[in-house]
Amino acid sequence: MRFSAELLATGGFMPHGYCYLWNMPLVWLHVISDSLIALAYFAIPAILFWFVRKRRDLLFSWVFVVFGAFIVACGSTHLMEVWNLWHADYWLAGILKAITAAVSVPTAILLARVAPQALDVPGSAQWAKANARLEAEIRERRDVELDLRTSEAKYRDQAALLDLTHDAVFVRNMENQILYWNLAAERLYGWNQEEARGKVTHTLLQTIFPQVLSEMDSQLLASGSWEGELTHTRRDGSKIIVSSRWVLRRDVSGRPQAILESNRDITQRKQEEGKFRNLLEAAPDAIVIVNGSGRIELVNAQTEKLFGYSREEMIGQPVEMLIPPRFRGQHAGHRHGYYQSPRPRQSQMGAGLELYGLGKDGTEFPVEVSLSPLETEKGTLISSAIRDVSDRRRIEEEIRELNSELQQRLVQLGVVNEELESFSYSVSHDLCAPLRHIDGFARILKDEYGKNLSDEGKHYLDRVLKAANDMGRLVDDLLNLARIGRKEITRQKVQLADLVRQLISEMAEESEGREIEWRIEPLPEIECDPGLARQVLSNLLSNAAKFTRSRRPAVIEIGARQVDGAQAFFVRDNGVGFDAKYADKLFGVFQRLHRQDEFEGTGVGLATVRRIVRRHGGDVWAESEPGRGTTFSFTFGPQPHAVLARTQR
Amino acid sequence: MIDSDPDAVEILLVEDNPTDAELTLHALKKSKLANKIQLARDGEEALDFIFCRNSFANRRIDNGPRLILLDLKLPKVDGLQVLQAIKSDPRTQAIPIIVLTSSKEEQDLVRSYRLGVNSYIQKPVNFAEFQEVVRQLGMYWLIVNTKPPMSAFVRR
Repeated sequence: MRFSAELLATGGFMPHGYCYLWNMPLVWLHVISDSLIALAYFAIPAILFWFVRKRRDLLFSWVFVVFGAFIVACGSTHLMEVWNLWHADYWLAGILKAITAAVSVPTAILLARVAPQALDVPGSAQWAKANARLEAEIRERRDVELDLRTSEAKYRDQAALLDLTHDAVFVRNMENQILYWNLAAERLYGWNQEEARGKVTHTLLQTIFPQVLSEMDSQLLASGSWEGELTHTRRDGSKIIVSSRWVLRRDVSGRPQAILESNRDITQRKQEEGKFRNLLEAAPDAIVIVNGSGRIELVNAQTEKLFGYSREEMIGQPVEMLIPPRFRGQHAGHRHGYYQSPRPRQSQMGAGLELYGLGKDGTEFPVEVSLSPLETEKGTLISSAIRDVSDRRRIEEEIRELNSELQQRLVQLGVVNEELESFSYSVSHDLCAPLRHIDGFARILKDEYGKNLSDEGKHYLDRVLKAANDMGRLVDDLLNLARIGRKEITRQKVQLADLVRQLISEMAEESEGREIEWRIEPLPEIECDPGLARQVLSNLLSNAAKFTRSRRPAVIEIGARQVDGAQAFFVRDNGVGFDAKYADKLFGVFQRLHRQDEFEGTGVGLATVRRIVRRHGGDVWAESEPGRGTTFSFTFGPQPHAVLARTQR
Repeated sequence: MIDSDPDAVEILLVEDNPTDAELTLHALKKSKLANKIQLARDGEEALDFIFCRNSFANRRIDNGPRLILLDLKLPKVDGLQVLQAIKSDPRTQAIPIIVLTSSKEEQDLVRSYRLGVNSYIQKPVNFAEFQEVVRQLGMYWLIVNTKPPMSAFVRR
């Protein structure tokens, strides 16, 4: 209490104003200055306090606190100066200064320690510069962003457009990673955009390159694009061939940035091309495909073989190289003509003309050429199929020779035939004459001088007459047989049943006294020579009547049946029959299976039957067993009208 | 009347084969149909007789035979040529001609008829039949048939 009292006590000192001799302006100068300093010193910490409170992120905020305390302290000393102008509280002032010192010294120490750190904190100029840079950057970024946004929109539009195309389109970066993948690519390969993005194309698609990849890449870099065919494997594992086009995209500075790859599936076309090629190669003819300017576009292996040139030697050359020089001019003319109106020519080129090909070795050979136009992306091409007809010409020549030989033979045959005819004429005339004479004189002898002859003599005379008679019949039969061979067959519709009945009634006389049961089944109408059909039936019926002589009753059946699709007829009897092992002898001339004294006959009848049916294109055969009868069957060959009628129905 | 000419030849038989000729003559005689039969041994002789040439030059052409029996196969001039010559001449074409032959050839028949033959008879091998045929044809042509009138023979 004492101390404070002492503090407050003046202690006997004089106020500081005495020092200024109470010079009032001087006193007031101090008063005002110190007051203002104090005011400022009190205001500054308040502001600093506010600032620190507001700037939480402030570095070294405690410096501000210490600094504020120091300034407050300083301010209070100044206030004390004013007070002591009139009061002499120097102790209190001293104490205040001590406090101020206590605050300011640590503050100074602290500042000294903090200063180097604070140096690192940028100054405001640097801040300004950094700020400016930042702002520029921000602007730039905004621009870029805007750019990006517009170009993204553009790309979206482009991408949308690219989704419209049927070609698979994708963009890959220089590491071949897929950046973009259109809808067609998705459809073609099976992966969608999300699945494909970021994948390395050649790995994903297992690309098989037509050449070394590095070569393709260097071409792409050099020219900006590459085109060719690639083989890709789809998601499902199937392989496809694509027609591929790569375009390189560079950035502003010209650095390669990305590759746009556009692929079209040409698998089917390639397969068709392959088929076409196979077809071409498999063709039996040499095929030469020629373009509008007459140059060879394509040839097959047969062409190489036929002409002796290799493909390389022919392709691109005028087609006239395959033609002998003397025909080249006119060929070029014909070729132009053909281009004016290209139509497939079924008939051979230059029909009626002999065409020749020219081989590499200079040999000429006859050819046949057929032309057809071929519409291709390269325009109308002419495909010509060339066939070496040397062999055919040779064969034709041979046929011609054979034909002329045949002609000669025919002439010879004609001569022989004429000879035969004159032979049969003389047979009928000259051979019959002596027979008639024998018969004639024997009969005159018998009639007019018979009464002078003994019975034996008459008997011999009868034998002479009979022999002459037999021979006469034989000659007649033989002549008839010969005549059938020459006779023209004139087919008409014949009712065999009518013919059979007619023949039976004609036979009534010779079968007089015999018991014959004729069984006539319905017989279809047939087309044959009526006169000859009559001979056939007459021979077979009288044969049947003859060989059933011992039967009571004799049963003779006439019927029709189908044999191997042909209309056959049969005459069946219950006569003596014959041994089947002699069946082949049955139809030969003069072949007889029975003794003359059993059954008379010339042995020409069945030969005549066979000749007649064979001349009709038919045949005759017999089935028999001794003692059980015989069946003769025959056909009159193809029945053109009957067959026609059946098909029409 | 030429009709009543006792020398008139009733039948001209053209036959080269003497045996045939003998048999035919025998058959004709047996039938007692013809008294006067002239035999010609080949085609030329037949034509000489008909057209009154050479050894028959003193014959009159209008005194022709009533009937010609003609064989086809004849030396020199064959039967068909004889037939043609007679049938194509207006003076002789009215004479009935009967081909009597051993030929059955269709061609002979066709040509004979085309040339205007009046009858075609194929000689049967059997003499009895032949005799019968000869008797019938003589009966028919010389008795049954009305002979052509004189005006049928055009004079030259």
